[in-house]
Amino acid sequence: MFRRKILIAGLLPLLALPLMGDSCTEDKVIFIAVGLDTTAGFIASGELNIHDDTKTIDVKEDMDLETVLDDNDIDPEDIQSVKVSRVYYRVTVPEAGRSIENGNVEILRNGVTSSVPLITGFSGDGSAGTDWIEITNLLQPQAVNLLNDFMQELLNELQGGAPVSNTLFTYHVTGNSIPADVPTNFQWELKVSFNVQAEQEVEVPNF
Amino acid sequence: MVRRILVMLAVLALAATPASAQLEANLSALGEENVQLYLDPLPNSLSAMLNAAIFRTGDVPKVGFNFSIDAKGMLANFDDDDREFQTVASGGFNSTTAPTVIGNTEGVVDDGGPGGSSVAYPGGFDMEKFAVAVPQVSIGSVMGTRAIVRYITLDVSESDLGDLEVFGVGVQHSISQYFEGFPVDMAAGVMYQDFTIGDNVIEANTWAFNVTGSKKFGMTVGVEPYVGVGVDSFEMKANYEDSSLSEKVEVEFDRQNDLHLALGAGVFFPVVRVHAEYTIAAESGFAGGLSFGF
Repeated sequence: MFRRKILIAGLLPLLALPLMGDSCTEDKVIFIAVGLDTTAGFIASGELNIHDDTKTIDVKEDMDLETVLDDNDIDPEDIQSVKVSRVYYRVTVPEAGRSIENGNVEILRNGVTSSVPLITGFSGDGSAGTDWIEITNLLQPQAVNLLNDFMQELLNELQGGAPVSNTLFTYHVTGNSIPADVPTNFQWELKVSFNVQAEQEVEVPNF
Repeated sequence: MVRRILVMLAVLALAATPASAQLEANLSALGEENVQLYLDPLPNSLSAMLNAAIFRTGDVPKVGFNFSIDAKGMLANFDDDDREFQTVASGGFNSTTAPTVIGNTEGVVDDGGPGGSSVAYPGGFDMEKFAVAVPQVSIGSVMGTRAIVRYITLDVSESDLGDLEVFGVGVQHSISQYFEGFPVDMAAGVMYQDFTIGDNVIEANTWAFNVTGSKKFGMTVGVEPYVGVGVDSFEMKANYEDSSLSEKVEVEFDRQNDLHLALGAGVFFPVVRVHAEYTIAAESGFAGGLSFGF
């Protein structure tokens, strides 16, 4: 008798719960924004007074747009645009007492464009390691246009267009290294982040 | 059959968790300070829903075996004010109005950043209501005390929804047993619950402290009105990867404490009981349950 009661108590909810209904979701098209980035590392080693370094990056390989889209279940056909969003730097290997003033970063797309300013009037303290520090307010429009055009080519390729060539970009950084006449020894990184803007159909509850 | 039932329970519960993969994607490009504002409507709703309809009677027998399985559900409405937030100005971008997680599906794009840079704020999931449903088992009694357990874990990825888990454990202890001829049944209860969405994209925990008074009219068939008064204490975290910085980010919301008042009634038959209540808490709404037991 006791086991029968247990059985009834356990099974009755299973019969009743379907009454709660299974048609309470609907598909909606939602605007989503996903970030991706490319990072260049710079090394100042033994420089006196002026920090001057170049770095060449395969931006297509570094960003790996296809994987980012896969990870976020985004169909390339659903993407509206990919645009430069923000810029950050961080000190990875500090040097006590070191700072950079009046720094400038230029960028060129190898074999396609000449150098254009990316960041101007940049100053940073290199005496301690840092998290990412935003310097978007120093972004220059020529570089934004250059990078946005490249991203559009990448997007066209993913949407079935021609493969993108000339995917190497060269950064050139210069700046006054303080204190003067003391060899400079620190490392830092520059990150450019992009916004992928897309529309996606998802299933959401509807009561 | 069982899987279908569980999926249906989850679909109700996942009103709180629309397409968790998309939710994480939306958080990933917002920046920490804006994530907090984007998710701002959730703590109140989750707190109210998870803590509703736990205790539906003040009648806890002093001794003897009693057991019930419940399907608990609660529905809350969002305010219009919850659908938008003012973004935090940063990096040379101005503040703007953008949808929250329950707001309009159309996002906002600001192309007026430094050098023509662009920032995009994702759309919401356009939800006016919010619901959760979980199974609950109660078993007693020892010295006027019963134990309560809630648990559900589901992977409903076929419907584009991620994992969901609710786990709760609590006790309810009779107060009226200590007073001869007490006019109503009265019990004090405490319940702890954990709630996660997706791969811990949203993590929440909540404590409910409650006193419930009820009065039965009828023996094997009848009604039992009840009143519950208590405090809900709720804490939430969002975990995601900031895709602009390629870093894991944890955003903590302040623990919030809300008064909780429930007015309800149950109708009982042999084995079966239905109850419904109106809850005034962090968010107000209706809750109810269907239970089977003895």
